[in-house]
Amino acid sequence: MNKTTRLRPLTRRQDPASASRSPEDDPGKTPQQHASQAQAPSGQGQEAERGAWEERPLAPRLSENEAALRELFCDCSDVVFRKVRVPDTEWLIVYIDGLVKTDDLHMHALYPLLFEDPEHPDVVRSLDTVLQMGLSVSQVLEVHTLGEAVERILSAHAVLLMDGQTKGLALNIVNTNRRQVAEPLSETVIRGPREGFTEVLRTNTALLRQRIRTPNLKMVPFTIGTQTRTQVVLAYIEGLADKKVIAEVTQRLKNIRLDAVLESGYLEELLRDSPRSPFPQMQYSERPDTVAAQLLEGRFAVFTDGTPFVLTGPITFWQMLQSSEDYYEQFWMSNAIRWLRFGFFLIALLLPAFYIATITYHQDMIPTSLVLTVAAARETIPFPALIEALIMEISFEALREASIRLPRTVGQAVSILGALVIGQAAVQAGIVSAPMVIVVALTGIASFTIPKFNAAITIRMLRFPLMLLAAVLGLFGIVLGVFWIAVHLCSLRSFGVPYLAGVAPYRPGELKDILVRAPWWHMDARPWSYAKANRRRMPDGLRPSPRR
Amino acid sequence: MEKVSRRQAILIGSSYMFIVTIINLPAQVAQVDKQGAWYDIPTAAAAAALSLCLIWAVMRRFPDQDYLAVLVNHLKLAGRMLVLLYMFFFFLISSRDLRLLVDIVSVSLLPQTPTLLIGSLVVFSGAMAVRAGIEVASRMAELFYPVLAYAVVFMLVCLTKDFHWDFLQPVFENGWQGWLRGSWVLFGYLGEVIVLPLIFTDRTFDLKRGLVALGIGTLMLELSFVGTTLVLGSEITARLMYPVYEQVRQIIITDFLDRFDLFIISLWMPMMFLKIAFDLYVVCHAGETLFHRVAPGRHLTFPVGLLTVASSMWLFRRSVDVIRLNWNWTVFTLVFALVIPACSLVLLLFRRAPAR
Repeated sequence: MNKTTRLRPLTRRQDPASASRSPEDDPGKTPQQHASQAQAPSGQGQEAERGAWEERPLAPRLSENEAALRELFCDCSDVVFRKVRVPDTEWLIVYIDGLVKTDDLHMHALYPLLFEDPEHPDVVRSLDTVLQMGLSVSQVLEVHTLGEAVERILSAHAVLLMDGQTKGLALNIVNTNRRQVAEPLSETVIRGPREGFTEVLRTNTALLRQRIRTPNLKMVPFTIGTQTRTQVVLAYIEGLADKKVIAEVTQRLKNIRLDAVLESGYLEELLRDSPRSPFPQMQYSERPDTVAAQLLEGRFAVFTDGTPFVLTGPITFWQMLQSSEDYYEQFWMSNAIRWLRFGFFLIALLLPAFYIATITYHQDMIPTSLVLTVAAARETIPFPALIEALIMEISFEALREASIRLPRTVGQAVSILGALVIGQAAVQAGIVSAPMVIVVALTGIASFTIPKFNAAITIRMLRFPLMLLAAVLGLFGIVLGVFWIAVHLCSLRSFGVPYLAGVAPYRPGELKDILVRAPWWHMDARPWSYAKANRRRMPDGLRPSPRR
Repeated sequence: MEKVSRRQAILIGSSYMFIVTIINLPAQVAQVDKQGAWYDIPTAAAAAALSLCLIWAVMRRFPDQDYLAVLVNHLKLAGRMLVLLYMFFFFLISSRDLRLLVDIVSVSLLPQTPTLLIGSLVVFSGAMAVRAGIEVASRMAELFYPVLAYAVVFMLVCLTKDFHWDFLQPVFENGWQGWLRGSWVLFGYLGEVIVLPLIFTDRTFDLKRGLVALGIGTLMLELSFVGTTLVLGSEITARLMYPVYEQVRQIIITDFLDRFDLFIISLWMPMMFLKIAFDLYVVCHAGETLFHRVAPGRHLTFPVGLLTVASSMWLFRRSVDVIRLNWNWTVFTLVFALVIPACSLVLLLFRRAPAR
């Protein structure tokens, strides 16, 4: 009689420990607590059970392995078990329907097993011969434990097990029917590549490999998330990236103990130097060219399976105001646009507060003709400048947020409606004044010029405390607020790099890409903050000097 | 150990000399030496350079120690008494600076806000910067000081059309007496450049950098003082409370853009906050040097700040009190910048620390 080894139950309802525990056994707990405990076994118990079968080696008998796998994948209707009987032996193929490309599975795995090749009659008699001569799949891995087999099945592999063997084969025939590479939605440019990352990790790493063709580009894999087992890759260029920074980020990734990683934002919060700071300490991008440029300056990138947003670091504050397009256009145009961005950054942060301060306390700062116009516009407004500003700013933020959530077909109508309601009707009703509408509109436009969305959000949030300070203390309050923000920025670090590096602390070589974008023939050195080991980017004398 | 670069130290030193000096001193120098500020400033700077030389002559014998640490470690009880005096001196400086800033803010920006509130907010901001570390405060100086410097140059460029070069004539109108009196009152503020050797070791500060800081501060003061004289003249300058502020009010670019005074004050104020922050840092650093087994320096920041607010209101009931003190303040600066360093040099002449 075949003896099947019964695994310890893994699902909640089959957990004997929880099933046997009753309120009478533990009178100190309420029935609700017992019920919740029965519903939710402790993480430690789950972890221990998981560890037990993960390490268990594959049995020589195929029936045992099949029973174990069926028990693990109990109630998983998408897991397919396909048994193949050939003379003298039995094979089992296990895969998840939808994750595996079934056409390739049929042609390159099932067909060789079912139909004997007359030229190689004994191929299917052992795993090694099948591996060497029977399977026309490019990537085949060996699995030796139940845990490895389960991990490969969950990672879109088809696992091939043979009766009498204590190892199996995992065939990499991933179903590539996913979202295609398209232009990134969050970072559009006029000039530049139109490719963007997708949700498939290997597609994203391939896009990076296409741009950086050197074996020094390292891709270190991690698996993070006890439930999701999300594949994460740390990419950097050896010889450029600071070894201490790479060691630090590697350690931080290893220390992450989450149950699920569904997006790179989960990792970002756990990798930051200062978690409570509103300023981003890692950048994210959908653009392969942006990530490649970051790596070529000595930074690292973290790819997360399931999301097109790739994290890069260390970063400085000045990167928040840089766009990839700055490096594709002529430097004169890039500098003009960059300076425009700096100006609009200040407007986005300070304009409403400055307006409130001048209207409330320092009317003498405004030219006489303008102050009379503003005073006339505000004559019938029942609210003080601060309340007026808050009404408008909060309405604008609500409208902006609503336009993101709404379907595209309705979004335009809402935008028009919002503009009409806020812009026209509110002014005519005497709730807000026309200058305030202009100030808020200009502030909104200014915040849209900030290329990085996470930085734009930060600036939008910081506007409100500055407005409050301006309302209470006028220009002095604005100076106080800016001073406190500056203290915070100067104390912030991103993986050891000061957040304002280049300006404070002053590094003349890095100024070429902060306040201006120097011509390419001048940008011969990488930033000292990231690439201390290898700073030379290009030789001297590249400035074009064609003969006349 | 502090991680302040030499460039940051230079900016700190030059800002120390410049930021507070431009508030009231142009008027007082104009009172005693009329249009002679342009040669009074280099004279006072030369005396300040002498104090740096004396202190450096002591420090170079004891590597990896700032001047306060040298006094404590090598002059024992006498050194401790001297460090206590330096602590008190810079505490007075912080009180004076705070009072000046509070007065300007109260006069030009917030006339109805209690001065105690203004002073408390300023000290809180400075203490925040100090608690974050001298490294952070130095970076902030690197961030704000160049902006202010460009603003000063921009201001002078805009006022070029209003310059009256005959306002600088006649030279030496008040003779040697005017020259010495103008230099006397200026040295009380320029001598504060000794802050650099008090808080930095020889890894960050040396004589060359100290003189560069002094040179930059002197240049900035020359631009400001001479610009004020050229625009307003010595007679009007001598009768104003804030001559540089009045000078800025003369800027008119077009009929529309003629209100830059508050804007320039907004650029100047963060540096003033930082000056007070560095004053607090010196006091806390001296306290830590004396009582390092009792209280780390950063724990003293807010208590010292509170004391500074109280003393600024108590010692100087009116802003005029600060102006009156300027005439006698130079005595204090002479003692701490020249006399004590000279005496310490003599006492430590034949002592030397082991090589680094």
